Amino acid sequence: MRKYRGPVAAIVAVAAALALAACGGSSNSSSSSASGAASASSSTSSSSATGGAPKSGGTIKIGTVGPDSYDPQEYQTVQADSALHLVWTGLLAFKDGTGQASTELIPGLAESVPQPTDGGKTYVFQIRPNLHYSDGEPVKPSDVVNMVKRNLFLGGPFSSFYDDIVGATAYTAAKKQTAPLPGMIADDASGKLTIKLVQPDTRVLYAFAIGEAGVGPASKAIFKNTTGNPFPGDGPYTLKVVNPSPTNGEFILTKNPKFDVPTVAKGYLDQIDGMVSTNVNTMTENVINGTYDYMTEDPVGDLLPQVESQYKDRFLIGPGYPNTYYFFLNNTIAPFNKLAARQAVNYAIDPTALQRIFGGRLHPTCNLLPPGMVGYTAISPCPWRPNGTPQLSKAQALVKSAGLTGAPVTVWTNTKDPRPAIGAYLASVLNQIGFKATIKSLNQTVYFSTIGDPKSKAQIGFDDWFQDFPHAGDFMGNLLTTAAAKSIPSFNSGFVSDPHIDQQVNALDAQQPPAVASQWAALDAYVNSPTHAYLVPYGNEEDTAFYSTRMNVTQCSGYPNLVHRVDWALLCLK
Amino acid sequence: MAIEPASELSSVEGATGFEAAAEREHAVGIGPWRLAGRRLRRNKVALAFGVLFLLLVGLALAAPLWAKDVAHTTTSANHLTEILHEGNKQVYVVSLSGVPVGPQWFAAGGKFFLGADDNGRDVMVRLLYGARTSLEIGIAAALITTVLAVVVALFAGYLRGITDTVLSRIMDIMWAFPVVILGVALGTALSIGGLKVGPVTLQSGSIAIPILIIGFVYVVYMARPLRGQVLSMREKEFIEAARAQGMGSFRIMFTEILPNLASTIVVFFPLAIANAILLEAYLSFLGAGVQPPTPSWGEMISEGIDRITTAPHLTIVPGLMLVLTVLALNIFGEGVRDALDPRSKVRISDN
Amino acid sequence: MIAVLFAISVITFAIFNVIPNGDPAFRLAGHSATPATIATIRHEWGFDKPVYVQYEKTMEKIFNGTLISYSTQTNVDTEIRHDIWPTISLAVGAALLWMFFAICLGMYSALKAGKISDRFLTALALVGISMPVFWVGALLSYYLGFKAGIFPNGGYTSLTSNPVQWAWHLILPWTALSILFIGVYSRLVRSSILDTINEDFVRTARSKGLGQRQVLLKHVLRNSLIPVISLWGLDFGAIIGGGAIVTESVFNLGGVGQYAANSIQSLDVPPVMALTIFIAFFVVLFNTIVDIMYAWLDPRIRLS
Repeated sequence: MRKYRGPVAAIVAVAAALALAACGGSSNSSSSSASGAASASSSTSSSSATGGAPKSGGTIKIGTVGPDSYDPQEYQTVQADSALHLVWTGLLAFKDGTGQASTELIPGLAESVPQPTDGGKTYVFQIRPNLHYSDGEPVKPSDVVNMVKRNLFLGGPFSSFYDDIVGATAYTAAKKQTAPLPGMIADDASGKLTIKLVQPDTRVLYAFAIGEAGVGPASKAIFKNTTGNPFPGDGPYTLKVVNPSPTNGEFILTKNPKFDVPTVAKGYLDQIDGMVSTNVNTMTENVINGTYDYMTEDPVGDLLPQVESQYKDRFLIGPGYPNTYYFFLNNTIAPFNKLAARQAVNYAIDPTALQRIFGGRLHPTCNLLPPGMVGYTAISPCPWRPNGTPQLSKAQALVKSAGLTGAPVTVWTNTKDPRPAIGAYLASVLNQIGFKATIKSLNQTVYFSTIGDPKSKAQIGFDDWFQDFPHAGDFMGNLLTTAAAKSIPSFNSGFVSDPHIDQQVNALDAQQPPAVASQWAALDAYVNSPTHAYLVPYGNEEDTAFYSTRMNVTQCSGYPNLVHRVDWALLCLK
Repeated sequence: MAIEPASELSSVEGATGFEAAAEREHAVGIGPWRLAGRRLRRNKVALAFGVLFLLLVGLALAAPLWAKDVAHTTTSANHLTEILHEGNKQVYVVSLSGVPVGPQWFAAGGKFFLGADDNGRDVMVRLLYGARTSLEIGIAAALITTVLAVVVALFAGYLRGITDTVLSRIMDIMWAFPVVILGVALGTALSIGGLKVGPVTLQSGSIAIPILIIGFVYVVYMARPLRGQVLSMREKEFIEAARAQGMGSFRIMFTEILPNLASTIVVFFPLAIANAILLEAYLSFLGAGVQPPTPSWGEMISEGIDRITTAPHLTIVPGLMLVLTVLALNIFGEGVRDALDPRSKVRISDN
Repeated sequence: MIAVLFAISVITFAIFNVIPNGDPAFRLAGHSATPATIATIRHEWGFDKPVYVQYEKTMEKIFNGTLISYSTQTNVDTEIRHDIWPTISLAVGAALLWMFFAICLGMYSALKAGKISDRFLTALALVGISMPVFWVGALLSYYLGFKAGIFPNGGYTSLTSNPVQWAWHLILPWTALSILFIGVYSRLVRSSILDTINEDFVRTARSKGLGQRQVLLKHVLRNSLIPVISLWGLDFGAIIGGGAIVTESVFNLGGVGQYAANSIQSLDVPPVMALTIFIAFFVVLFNTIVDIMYAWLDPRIRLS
C-alpha cells in the first residue's frame, strides 16, 4: 500500500507548539470533529463564478517531510507522489481535479485509454506523436517498455503491479537488463505499444497511471537508482534536487516549457520550492506566519485543535486520500477462527472512542472500502451499531457462548503514533468483553512484515491500508484474497480465504470499476456482514490541508485529490 | 592511563561518584560500621530522605489498592468516551478532539485524581504502577551491576595477568560507548525480537530486558574503581599473610578482599539504583526501554510532552515523581557516604 | 585507540544484524514484497553476502564517504557533516556555561564547607543531578517559552546566517543540558578543592606567608582543577560526538545525536554504524588530549 510518511520518531519538538499556542487565544476550544469536509469542491477545473479565472504565476514554498526517493520507480509515499507525479507523465494519468473526478483514468502519453481485446488480455496503445521530454528528446513507445523493465529490475515498491504482464516474472528472475519482456511490444516507427496480460485485469491499467509509472527517455532512465540526479520527463514541471537530506533538504519544481501533453494540467505556479524537514510543528508555524505557503503534513498534538479553531479560513479537513483503518482478525487460528468471536469484536468497538485518539480526525465507518472509492456505498444501518453505539453486552454474550471467556489474546500494534494508543484501546475493549488481552508492540519498520508472516501467529492487531490507486481491487485483492494470503509477507494479515471473494475479485478486476461499482459494494457488504465479519474496520483517517494567506484557497485548493492528496498543479496564489 | 567515558548521563554520579567514594578508606577505631551508623543517625536530612524513599516504595506497593478501591480502574482500561459528573457539570474524560481532562483531585470521588491521559486512562493509577516498574528495574539492575562489578573487579584486580588484560580491554571498550546510545541501541534491537541465550528465552516485552541492559551498561563504572581498590589491597600485609597460610586465590578474593570492599559497595548501591531509575526513564522516553502497556514514568513523560499546552499535568506529574525518587536516593546515598567517611566534613580553617 | 574503535564497530554491527526480524530488504521492497523483488533488493544492497563481508563493505563505505542510509537513501557522510554544527554549538556553549558556574559554585561551597550555604548548594546540585534533561527541557520550554513568551521555539539557526537568533535559540538547550552538569561538576570541584587544601605543597605555600586568597587562587584552584578537567574533557568529547541525544531531540536541534536517535529507532543500520564510531572517536580523542593536559598541568608529573 502507499505509505503516508509521518514524523519519524515519537519525539516531537515541544517548543514550537508552545510558541504557537502563545500567539493565539484559548487553547481549549474543543472543536467538533469535522466530518463534513470544508469546501471540498468536486469541480474538476479552476475558473469559478467568483473572482474570475485563477491567477497564473508565482513561486511558493511547501513544507514537507519530502519524497522517500527522487527516483520515479523507487518512491512509495504519498508525499513523494504529490511532488513527483508532476515531473514524469506516464502512459496514462489521472484527471487533475478534486473529489470523485480526480479518480478518473485519462490518457497521458497515450492518445486514449483503449478497450481491451482478446478476452481482456490485450491492450493496444497509440503514443501521441511529437511529444518531447524536457531535454528535447522525443517520446517513444520503447521508453514505456524501458520503464516497466526498470521497475522490475530494480525491484521498485510497485513493481509487482506489472506481474500480470506476460513474461514479467521471468524477466525479474533473469536479473539481466537486456532480458526479453514478451508481453510488451513497442513499435517506435508507428508509435504503437501492445501490452499482453496473463489474465484480464483492469488494475494493470491503473498501474500505468500512477506516478511510479513515470516515463523518461530510455537512454537516460538507466537501471540504477537516480535519486539526486533525476532523468528528464514529460511533465508540467522539471525537478532539481538542491539537497536530498531528509532533515533539511530542498527540491525545486520549475515550469517545464517543453511540456506538451494536452490532457494533463499545466499548473498555475511558476515554481514550487519543496522545503524538506522532519519537524511538523515548525512547518505548521511557518505556514501560519507565511514563511511556507502549504504543508503536506497534518498538524499534530496540541497544534491540531488550535489551527482548526484559529485559521478556519485556510485550513481544510475532511475525508481525503482514501484509506481505511481496521483491526485484522486472524481467521486461521484461535480464537478468531470462530465467527462468534469475530462478531463480538465488531459489536464492541466504538469508533467515537477511537476518534478521540485521532484528535477528532477520523470518519467512523463500517465498510472496508473508503469513501471516494468507486464501489463505496456506506453500509447503513451499520449492522454492529444500528443506533450509533456499540453493543457491549451482546459482545460479551457472544464470547461466552463460544466458550471463549478468559481466552488469552495478544493484540499487535506498532510504535508509530497513535498506534500504541489504538492498540491499548483494543486490548482494553477485549478485556471488557471477556478475553484476556495483552499487547505486543513492534517497531513500525518491522511491523507489517511480521504480522504478514503466518509464522508469527498474530491473532489480532492494528492494520491500515492507503490506496495505491483508485480501484476497489486494490483493497479487496490485497487484503482478502487467497492469492494475497500466500505471499510472504502478506497484506492479507487475517489470512482470509474465501472462494466467493476470490471469484468475485477475479471477475470484477477484469472490468473497469465504474461498470461494476455496485458489485464491489455488494462484496464490501458481504465481507463486513455478521455472517462473515472477516475484519473490523472502524474509520477513515481524515486529511487536512493548511495554506498560508497568500494562497487562493477557494478556487485553487487542489483538495481533496483522491490520488495525490492535494493536486499541486491546481494550486494558485491570490 | 585509563579511558574514561562520559555522556550526559554517565556523569550522573556515575564515573565521578563511584571514583570519589572508592578513594576513601575506612576510619579506624571502634568498629567502622558502628561509627558510620552513629554518624548517619545524626544526619537528619539524609535520614529524612531515606524515609521519603521508603514512603515511595510504600506507595508503589499500595498501587493495586488505589487502583481497585479508590479509582476503580486498571492501568490499561480506557475511559475514552466516559463522562464525569461533578456537581452539576459534565466533563468528558477525553474531549472529542482528544484533549484529556486535568487533575480532578477528589471531585470525582478519587477517580482521575491526577487527571487522564489521552487514552482515557487514570494518571494516578499509572503513576503508582510506574513507580513499581521503576523501583523493580532500579533495584534489580543495581543488583546485577553490583554483583557483576564486584566479580569483575576481584578477578581483574587480584588475578592480574591475562585475566586482567582481557577484562580491562573489554572495560575500555565499554567505556568509550556512551551509556545512552548503547542503551538505546540494545533496547531497540532487543525490543523487536526478544533475547535468546542458550535455553533462556525472553519475550520482547519482558521487563527483564531493560533490567539486563541497564544492569550491564553500568558495570564498568563500578568495576573500575573497585578494581583500583583491589589492586591496592593486594599489596597489603594481611593478604600476604593469607597467601603464606596457603589460602587459594578464590578464597582470598571472596573471604579476605571482598569484606573490605563492603563499605564502598554500600556507598555505591543507592547511587546505582538512582542511576538505573534515571537511565530507564531516558530509555523509555526514547522508546527503547519498557514496552507499552507496562506503565513507565519515562514513557508517560514522552507522551505528555506532545500535549504540554493543553494537558501539562501529563508531563509535570510523572517527572516530579521521578525527580523525587532519584533525589531521595541521591541524598540518602550522600548521607551514607558522609557517614562512612568523615573527611568530607573538613573545613577550611580561618586564620 | 584503533582497537577500541574497531571493537565498538563490531559490537554495533552485531547488535543490529544478529537480531531477528530486522530484515531491511522487506522494508525497502515496500508493497512489492514478492520473493523475486526481495531477492533483487538483497542482491543490490549486498544483503545476500555473509555477515563479515557486509561488515567489511559497510566500514569501507564509512571511510570513503559513500555510505547510504536505508530509510532515506541519502549519503550519511553529508548528513553528518551538516548535523555537526548544531551539536558543536550546543556542546561548546553548554560546556563553557557549566564549567563557569561549576567552578564558582564549587569554590564557594568549598570555602563554606560544612556551613548552611554549603549544604544548600550541595542539595541544589543533587537536585540538578536528579532531573532528567528531557523533562527539564520540556518544562523550560513550557514556562519560559509558552507562559512567559521570552524564548523562541526549538530548532536551530546557523551562526553564519544570524548570530543573534543562533544564540537565542540555544539558550534554553544550553541551560537544560548545563543544569545536569553543573550539579555534577560543582560537587567535583568542591571535593577536589577540599582534597587539595590538605596537600603538602599548599601547606608550604601558606608557611611562606601567602594570604588565604592568594593560596586559594594560585595553587589550590589550579591543582584541584586537574582531575576535573580530565572528566570535563570526556564529557565534552561525548557531547560533541552526539551524546546529548535527548537534549537535541527535545529541542529539535537537528544535530548528530538526534540523527543517531532517529536512525536507531528506524533500525537504519548505516547511520548508526557511522555515528557510533564517530562518537567513540571523539570520546577517545578527548581522553587523549586530556591525558596530555593532565600531565602538563600537574607539577608533580611535570617535574618528575
